[in-house]
Amino acid sequence: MAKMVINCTHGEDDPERATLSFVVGNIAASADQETIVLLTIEGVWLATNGCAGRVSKEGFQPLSDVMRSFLDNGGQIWACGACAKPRGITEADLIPGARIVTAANVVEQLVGGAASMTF
Amino acid sequence: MDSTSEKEIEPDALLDFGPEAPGMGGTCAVLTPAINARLRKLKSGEILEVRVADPTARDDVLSWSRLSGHAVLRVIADSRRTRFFVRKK
Repeated sequence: MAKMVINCTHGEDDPERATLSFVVGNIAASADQETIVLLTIEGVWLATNGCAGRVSKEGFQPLSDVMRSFLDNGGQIWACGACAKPRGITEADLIPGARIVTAANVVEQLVGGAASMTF
Repeated sequence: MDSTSEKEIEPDALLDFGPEAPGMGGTCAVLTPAINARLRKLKSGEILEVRVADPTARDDVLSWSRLSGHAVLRVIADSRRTRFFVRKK
């Protein structure tokens, strides 16, 4: 069961929120805390090939670098299925390390005690 | 954590983080992941010395230590930088 679920609701539409989600997630993961970054709404695009490479906020590391570090530190990337489907996103579109999940998967983590925050 | 002992600690590796890197989102965004990445290359029990110019790093490193279980053996600070001696669990 994860210790933290960080909900990222923005992608290219808001590079700062997108990047901060993974910055905080990486801090947790690199402190040995099992951490999930849950991508919902426009954030779900970040789980797709090529998207993160287009996201960069002045003053921060490029998002693709932060995501790579997050995964290297054991972080998990979950893409909301209810958000992916209407956007035509399938498992075939995802970056390595990302997976499509259901709402029940998320509820299970939260009821199991995971702390959560949303960007 | 012992900050008063006269016994020197001999580190097995050094991470010199230097001044806050511009465009990195602040030291807090990158320091502890960088420490964790460097520790992955060490064996359990080995000691990493981390040097940081940003004085706010103390809170980050001590918090990270409590969470991760990697012990901070000593902290030595002067006007220019802070040195942390971290033992890999």
